Amino acid sequence: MKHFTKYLILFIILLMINGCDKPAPTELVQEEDPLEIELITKDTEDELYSSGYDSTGVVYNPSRGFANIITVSGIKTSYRNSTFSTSHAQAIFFDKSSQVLSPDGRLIGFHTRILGNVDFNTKSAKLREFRIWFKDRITGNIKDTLLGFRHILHHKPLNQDDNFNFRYNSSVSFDFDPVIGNPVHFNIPTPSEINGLIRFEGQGNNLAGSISWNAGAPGHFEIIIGGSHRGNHKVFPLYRLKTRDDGRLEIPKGLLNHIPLNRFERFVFSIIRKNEFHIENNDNDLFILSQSIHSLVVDIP
Amino acid sequence: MIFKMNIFAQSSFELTGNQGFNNESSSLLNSFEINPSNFSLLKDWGLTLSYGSEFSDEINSNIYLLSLSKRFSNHFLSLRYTPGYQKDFLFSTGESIIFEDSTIQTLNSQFSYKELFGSGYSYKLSDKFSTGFSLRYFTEEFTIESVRPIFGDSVDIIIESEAEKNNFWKADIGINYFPSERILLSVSSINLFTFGETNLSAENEQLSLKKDKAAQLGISYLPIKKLELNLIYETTNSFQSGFNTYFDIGSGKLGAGLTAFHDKFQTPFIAGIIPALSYSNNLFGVTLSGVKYFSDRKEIQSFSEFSQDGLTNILNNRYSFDKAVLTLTFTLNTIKVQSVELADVEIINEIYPTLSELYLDSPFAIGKVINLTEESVLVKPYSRIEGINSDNIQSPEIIISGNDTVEVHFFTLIPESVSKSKTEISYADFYVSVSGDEPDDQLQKAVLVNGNNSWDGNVSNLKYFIKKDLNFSLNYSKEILSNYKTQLDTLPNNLSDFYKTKIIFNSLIKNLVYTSDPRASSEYVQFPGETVNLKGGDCDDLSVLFSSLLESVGIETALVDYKAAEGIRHVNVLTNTKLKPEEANLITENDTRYFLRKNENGEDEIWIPVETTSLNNFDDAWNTGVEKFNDEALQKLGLATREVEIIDIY
Repeated sequence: MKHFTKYLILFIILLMINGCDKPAPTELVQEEDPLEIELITKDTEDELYSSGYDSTGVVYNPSRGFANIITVSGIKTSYRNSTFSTSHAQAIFFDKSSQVLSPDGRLIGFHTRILGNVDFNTKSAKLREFRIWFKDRITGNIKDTLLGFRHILHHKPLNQDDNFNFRYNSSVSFDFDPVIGNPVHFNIPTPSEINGLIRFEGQGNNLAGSISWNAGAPGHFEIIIGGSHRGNHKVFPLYRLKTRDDGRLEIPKGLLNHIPLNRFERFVFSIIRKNEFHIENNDNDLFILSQSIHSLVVDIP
Repeated sequence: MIFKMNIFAQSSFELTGNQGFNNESSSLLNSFEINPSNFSLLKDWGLTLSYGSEFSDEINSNIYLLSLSKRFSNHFLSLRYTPGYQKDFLFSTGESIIFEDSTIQTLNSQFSYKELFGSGYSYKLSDKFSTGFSLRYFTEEFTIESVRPIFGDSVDIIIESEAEKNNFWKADIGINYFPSERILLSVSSINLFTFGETNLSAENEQLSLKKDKAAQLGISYLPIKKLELNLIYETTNSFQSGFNTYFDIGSGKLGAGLTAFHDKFQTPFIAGIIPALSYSNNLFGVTLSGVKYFSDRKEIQSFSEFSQDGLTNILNNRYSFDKAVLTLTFTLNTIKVQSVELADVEIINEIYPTLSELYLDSPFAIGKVINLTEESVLVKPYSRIEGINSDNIQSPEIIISGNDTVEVHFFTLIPESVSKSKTEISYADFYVSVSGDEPDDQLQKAVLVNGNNSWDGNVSNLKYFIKKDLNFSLNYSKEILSNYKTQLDTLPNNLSDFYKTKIIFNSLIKNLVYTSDPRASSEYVQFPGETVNLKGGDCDDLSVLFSSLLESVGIETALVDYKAAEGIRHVNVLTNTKLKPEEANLITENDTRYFLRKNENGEDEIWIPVETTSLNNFDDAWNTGVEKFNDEALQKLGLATREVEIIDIY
């Protein structure tokens, strides 16, 4: 009996040593709302990130490196009970060989080139200065620099009426008559109009938000969450959320709860439905962007 | 005995064996879920170990259960540790972070559910009812990764992990009812009490183990001895049904079983089966069982379905994988297993202390012994009479066939030292034992112990009174004969016994009178010394005295038992003169005055009847004895019809 007990205990110990696998977990997946979160603004004091975003809804990112950019945008901005619409079209031809660096050596853009005339919907685009602001990390001062000129049509209420109307779910014709070479013409398809709504629950560290909008066809879709700076009211795009165009998104709580309220006075939620086209052509690549944007500006609860 | 991995439909999942409920089972019934009343047929200690493997994308092995059980009389206690009762989920939230260097990291959440400990208690209220309760300890952990921006000199995004734990207890009760030997009905609660919970956040509360209250109803039926049918229904609309059967093999049993179960949260209708194969004997049991699900157990499942339906059972759910389990049970019975039962004992003889040798050949009690096993057993009966025996007195062993009932004789031994002045009631303890020192069963009965002078009325038993006081008789006889030494010395040898008889009788009767036994008393016989001291007695007493005195000096005697005689019994004495027939004229010319009997050599010897109640003189006593003997024993053919019996003392 003693031997039996001894071998029994030994057997049990061996089993316990060898039999301690963790059971394989079952994987659960969320069929809806895959979400990619990307940080846009690294430094909320550096206006490089906000350059032009508040007016065009276009996030300027020099590191993307496209030589030629054409964007057409239909932008609605809602704040409190008012909504106003803006149509914006631009074409920028960068000289990739001519970098613009900040005093601290950071690439902040490329000089532009004038290669010919640009028309959008048969309207001639105006040549306007393309200026960006950035933070000199050596002095800490905000500086601006002129990268050159861009072809732009910008229709917004009360100011600079370029008589250009962005038609949703339609197309914008693009014509380029270069100084050298043959004219180029194509139509840029435009996405459908977006109408969005933001709802909040709680406040402070318990703030939760959900965005709803009219869902569209599968395609490029993103929501950019930005903050309006206290003082200069500049809008900094903070995060890009890529998700499905299915009409609803629960904003991850952590994104809202940790935004320092002493720096920002308002949230800006830009719901962007877009069509993107990339044409690779060595150093002469072309990026065409057509987007429908509804920016919701809300006071921080 | 079947070891079966028991899945109880939805609410519970039992990996240890269900031994069934019939009396064949001597192993553990450790199933809180099916039977919180849990009255086990375990005799003493039990140890159970379940080791199993789960077949997901890879094979993971684990100790599922380790339990220890103990039975104390009608109480049953069980403790178990269940490290293998756990289920983990890995939830890809669908959120991913794109870092500055373009690397992408997906946010994951992990949900972990465990049942760690359990304890059960049950009590056998009667042969038909048992009840009990169980306590089980659960732990849940929800670890959720979330994105968190850090606003410092620059803005960064980090991934933060937040964990929330919830530990709680579940308590349930149950009742078992055996309306007959072949049917077991059981009812038990599901999630009756839950306590100790932590307040979880709203999201995690939704994911917590479901604790809806329900009830479980079960029935087990033995249509024939070696086949058990089971059905268990839960009020959550889940059920299981199956059968167990077993075959004798060597000293053990080989069993097989199959169970099918329906779970309202799983598809198809019969969600799976549990086949089992087992072997068991009195010392241990081993079962190999498995779970086979009929649906494809994908490893990746929908979170929205999980969130909506939740988890009710850790081991058996739509996310469980096929399993194979090895269960070992060891029983350690420090308590003797009863093999035989002493159903009844009948006292067939009162105890007469003087008739001590009688009980060596004739039982004083007969017991009815039942063999409870199926094998033949060697039964050792023994007894002890209070006030008579200082030790247990072993009676002859007897072999009883399996399931048979036999009569067992109990004998006893009455020591010389026992002295009872009056009749009294005593108690006798009867035991039957198969093995070891402990008896399998015992019974106590009252027994009448008579006084030393009590006599059962059987003349043949008067010899015990004659032999008991031989020392006195010898001394008394010698004293008498010493007074006639001269006369005896001059006698021829062949007449020695005759004249000694005469001398002793004539000397004896000088101080004796005939007296009857006291009224309203049982038969009472005086020892020779008592008759002399009391100076009288009845025919029994006087015959005992006379015979004893003669026997003490080597004169052979016999008692003559006159039975009928209108219900009046009488006894007198025949003495052996040792004279040959041709020497008869040395003592009498009348050949009717003696009776011939053959000795052990086949030679005739002359015996003379003496009526001991005739107290005038020897000749008168001889004549009276002859007259009665010739009349009743010979002429009325009493010896032939056994109405007169001659009983030799030795």
